[in-house]
Amino acid sequence: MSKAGKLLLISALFFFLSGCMDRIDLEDATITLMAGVDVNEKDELLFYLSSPVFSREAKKKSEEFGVKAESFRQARARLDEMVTGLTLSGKIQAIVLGKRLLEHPDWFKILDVIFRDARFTVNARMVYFDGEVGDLFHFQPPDKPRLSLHLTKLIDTANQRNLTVRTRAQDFHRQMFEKGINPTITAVGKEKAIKILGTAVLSKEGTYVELLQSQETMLLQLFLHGKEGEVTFTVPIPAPNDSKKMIKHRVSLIAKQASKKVKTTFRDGKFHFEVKMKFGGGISERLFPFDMEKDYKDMEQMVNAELRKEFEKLVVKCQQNEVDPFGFGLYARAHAYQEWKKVQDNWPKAFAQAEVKFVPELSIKGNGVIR
Amino acid sequence: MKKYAFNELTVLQYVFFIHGTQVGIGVLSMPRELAEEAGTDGWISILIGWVCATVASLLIVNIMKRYPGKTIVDLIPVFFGKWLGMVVSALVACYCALAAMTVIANGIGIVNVWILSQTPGYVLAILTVIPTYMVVQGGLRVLGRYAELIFYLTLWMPIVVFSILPYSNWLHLLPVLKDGWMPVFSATKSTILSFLGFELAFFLYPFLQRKQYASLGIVVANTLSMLIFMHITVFSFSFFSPDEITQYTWPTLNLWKVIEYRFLERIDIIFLAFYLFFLSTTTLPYMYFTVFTTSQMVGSADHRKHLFILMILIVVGAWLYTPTFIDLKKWSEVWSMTGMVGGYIIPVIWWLAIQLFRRGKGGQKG
Repeated sequence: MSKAGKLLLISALFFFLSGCMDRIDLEDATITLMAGVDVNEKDELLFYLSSPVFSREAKKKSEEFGVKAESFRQARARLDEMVTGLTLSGKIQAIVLGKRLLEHPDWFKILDVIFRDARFTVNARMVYFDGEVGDLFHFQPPDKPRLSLHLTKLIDTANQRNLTVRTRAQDFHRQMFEKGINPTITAVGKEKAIKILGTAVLSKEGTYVELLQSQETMLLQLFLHGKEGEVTFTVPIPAPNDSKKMIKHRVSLIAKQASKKVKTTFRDGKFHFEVKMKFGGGISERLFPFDMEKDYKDMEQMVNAELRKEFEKLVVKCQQNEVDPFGFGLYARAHAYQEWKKVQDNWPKAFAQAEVKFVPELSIKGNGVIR
Repeated sequence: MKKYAFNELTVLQYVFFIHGTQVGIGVLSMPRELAEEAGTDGWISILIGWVCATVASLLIVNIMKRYPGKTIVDLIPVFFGKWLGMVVSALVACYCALAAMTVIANGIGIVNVWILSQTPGYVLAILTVIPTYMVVQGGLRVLGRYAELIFYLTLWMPIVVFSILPYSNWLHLLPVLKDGWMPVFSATKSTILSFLGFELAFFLYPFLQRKQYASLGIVVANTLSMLIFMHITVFSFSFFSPDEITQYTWPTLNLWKVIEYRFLERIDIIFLAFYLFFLSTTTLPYMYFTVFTTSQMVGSADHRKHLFILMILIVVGAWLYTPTFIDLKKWSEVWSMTGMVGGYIIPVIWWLAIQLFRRGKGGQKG
């Protein structure tokens, strides 16, 4: 090819590059950082968005809007009528779901656009809000950064301490479709400040079922992910007249490593799961005298017994509500496929009948810097 | 005899040429297609498909060994005579053109869905056609170099996929062979088609510099492709729940969507941009052999004129008509069917014929 011809072709390429019709300048964009969905008393869908305002003249640092619409896309059109720029969905950090929305089964279909439109980010954190989403979006504490950033940071740090789960839209999609697990999302409430409540467990249809408190979440997280982030337990040690004292017999442990083995069997018409969990932990706090050097085996036994009690309490709570946030269904599928196939479409019910045994094996690795 | 000497390929170029042709649009949808048929046992089908493809490619190399210095296009008139040969050559050209078009149209379609949803297809077609022309006009050796270059340039991609390891759950893959062998075999049908591309050995053999590596090279190419398919499929299966994966059209792209770094989000977009290189190593060879065949038919040694006409046709075609996603699916199906014939059935029949012929002649050279 001649040089002139080559040049011509290359310049033609550059000519067309600017022709992509999807270009949006940053000045024209309203970057949504937080989106919310709720239902009002008349069962109409409400959509909210919060986006930062980059303008020196504006007094407030973010704008929040709520509209009535039938779908996310329709809501976007309505919102575009109000916000300065064009709303973009590629940077959403959190999707807040209202309490009333989660009373309706099949609300999950509303989120279709998140997974269908390739431009939506699937890394937004899913949040259950205990109250009306509108309250949250119009909440402007003076001592906090932009609400959307504050909430995301709150979730991420709470997740680091394992006080709540961190479920991204992609994870949520998996949990909704996976037959052997119930979805779990962060639960948030608002009193004087925004507060993490724990973990909301949803039914397979997506309705809200139960709340796991922080210690329960910690056990759940430990089961699901092993030791990730910081895991600290405070365990009561049985002692005479404990309830009457101000300083109770408590010991706190920080988990150093954890590994689990699940043994799955199917006997007598129900599933049996035996969870063996090996911990290595260090004592970070002890509120009563104890001769660790001599009796550390006793201590391990006592803590083991307490952990087992708590875990089994948690399982019973979930079984009563017919939810399986642990994903025992996956183990059932992997190790007892023939039986699983019979119950797969109604796993939470089958799980409610199942027998779960928890065997913690703690080994105390450290005692802190004092005796 | 040495008609193609000026365009010889080294062994590595030959390997990457075939490997590049094999890895194309299939990778994007493969995990879903396998999961639909065989659930999470689909990875076994890849192994079976690999064995089939390797056997078929070895047959092709064996066949071509008997006709040194000749491509399939040179052989067709010998076997079918002038006029029928024309028809068969035209069919071969059509097959290559169909393959190239399917991949280009799919590539444009995916870019339209994933990155540039407002940009019309013909603009993307023009943007694709210009670099395509610039590479293909250089002939086979340039294509070989291009394939090798792209292979090195995209080596980072399988490594980045490892960053989804923390999210993967290997329980999804258990139990192995959950519903027996039948679903695995039925999924094999789609995997053996993913390996299509080795049939280009029909064209490539005379161009190869050192013919003694022809068989080894094609096995290596097939194995490389198998490793890539396996890597993507196993990671997708471990990441997505088996109940969920069938929801996605292109699970491989969704896999990339969750990878996020502090300094970089939306890696799927970058992946897709690089993926166009992968697609190009599929389209360019097919494109080249389309015009190679047609120009040989009219007896001209210069393929560039035909290439130029083909490029114009693509742009005009894209301008007049944007294929719907259903059309794209149909094109792929037709390509698969013809590929089944060209890549598997013809080599087997031909090889059997040669064996019979040899026996009939009492061991003489066939």
